[in-house]
Amino acid sequence: MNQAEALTLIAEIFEAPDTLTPATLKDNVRGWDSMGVLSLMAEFDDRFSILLSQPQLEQMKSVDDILQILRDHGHISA
Amino acid sequence: MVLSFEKISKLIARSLSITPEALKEAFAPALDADMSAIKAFRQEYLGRHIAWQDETYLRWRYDFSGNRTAALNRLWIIKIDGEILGMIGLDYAEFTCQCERIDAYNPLDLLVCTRLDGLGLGVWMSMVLAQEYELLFAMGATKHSKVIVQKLFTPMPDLGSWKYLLRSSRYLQARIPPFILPMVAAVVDLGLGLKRKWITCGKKHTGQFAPLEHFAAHAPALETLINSYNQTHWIMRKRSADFLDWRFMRNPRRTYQALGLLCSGELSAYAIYHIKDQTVLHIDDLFAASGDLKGLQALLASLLEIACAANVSVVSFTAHNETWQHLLIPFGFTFRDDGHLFGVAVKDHELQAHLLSPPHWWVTSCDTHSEGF
Repeated sequence: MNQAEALTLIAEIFEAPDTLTPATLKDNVRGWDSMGVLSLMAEFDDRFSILLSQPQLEQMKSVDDILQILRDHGHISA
Repeated sequence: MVLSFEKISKLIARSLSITPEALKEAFAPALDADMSAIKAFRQEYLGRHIAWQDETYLRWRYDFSGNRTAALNRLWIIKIDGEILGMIGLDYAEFTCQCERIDAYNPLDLLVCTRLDGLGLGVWMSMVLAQEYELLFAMGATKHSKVIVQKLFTPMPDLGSWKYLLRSSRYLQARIPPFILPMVAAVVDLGLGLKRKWITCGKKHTGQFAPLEHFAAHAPALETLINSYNQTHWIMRKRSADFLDWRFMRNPRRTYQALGLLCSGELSAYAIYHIKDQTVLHIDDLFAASGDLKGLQALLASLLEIACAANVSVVSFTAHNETWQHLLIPFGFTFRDDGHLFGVAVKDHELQAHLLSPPHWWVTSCDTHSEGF
């Protein structure tokens, strides 16, 4: 998928309006709460077989941190 | 996205590097032997906010005997390799509705260790408890507890604060220039006083008001009061003398006052209140026999007099809008949604429709953990 599709997916996971950018901070995403984190973990596990670890989740401060994990696993094309 | 309990258990367990079965086993009611660790955990995560004797509070609030069968307040903890990672309390409430007894629990005192904060452990603990018990009702006041009420419970939107303004200077302070504040406040307060006299003059009662030191002496009268709701649709906590004495009169966190309305020496209505920061008189509970509007009006009028004598600015009361508006709006109270959420989780599908109807709930600060962190 491309970055725009990844952003749409992240917006769906957090049930956030489709206006996320890589620079959007965690605190500015309404659905990025404990339930949102669980949804993110579930989606990454089911769709990409990515097992998000506790330190990775703790270090996520912006949407780009989530995108970076997808890039690292080769799920975002250039 | 709807996640099943099994999926969430798997995700949480994996993030803790244990199996879902081990996670379930690690979550259990705390025992006496856990007290030191619990106190240390709360001290670490609540820190300077703890301004009370925490062990006294914990022992007052929860049972640590390990009794799993009796309906008791319990503090559930999740402990892995001897380390407490989170905890959540359950306050037992015996509700009555049309003569039916409903055992309900109110989650409170939710804490998760910092490194797991926001990663779903609080959600998982709440889900376990919602599976364990028939009826859970919850108040969300903090960021995390609001998420849990919104996502795991059925939120009922109209629980909020009723406010009655007695003195205006604090309210006007931010709105008018300081040099005219005393004069404007004096005029407004005079108007408020006249309005109050006009509203309360017709609310006198033939009964007598008396402060109550405890409710034990009024146990039979209290039972008659609560039984008067047997044929009504109200879902309300059974207010026994034992419960009221425990909840308010022996509360180690706050001093409450109780005011009784006595008719021929018998308790016919009561109010419980406390004064916050010398500025607010908060009504924690207000109760009279079913249909006794005059009793409630007389109590309210008396509480306004007490508030005036105490020189406070505002009288407040936490309750549902629809339940109380017929009594409070004519008095001059205004309703404000203060952002607190009230939600319920019901297992019994037959009861569900009735229990999920906001106007049926009689909720006051009696049912909330209003002392808070």
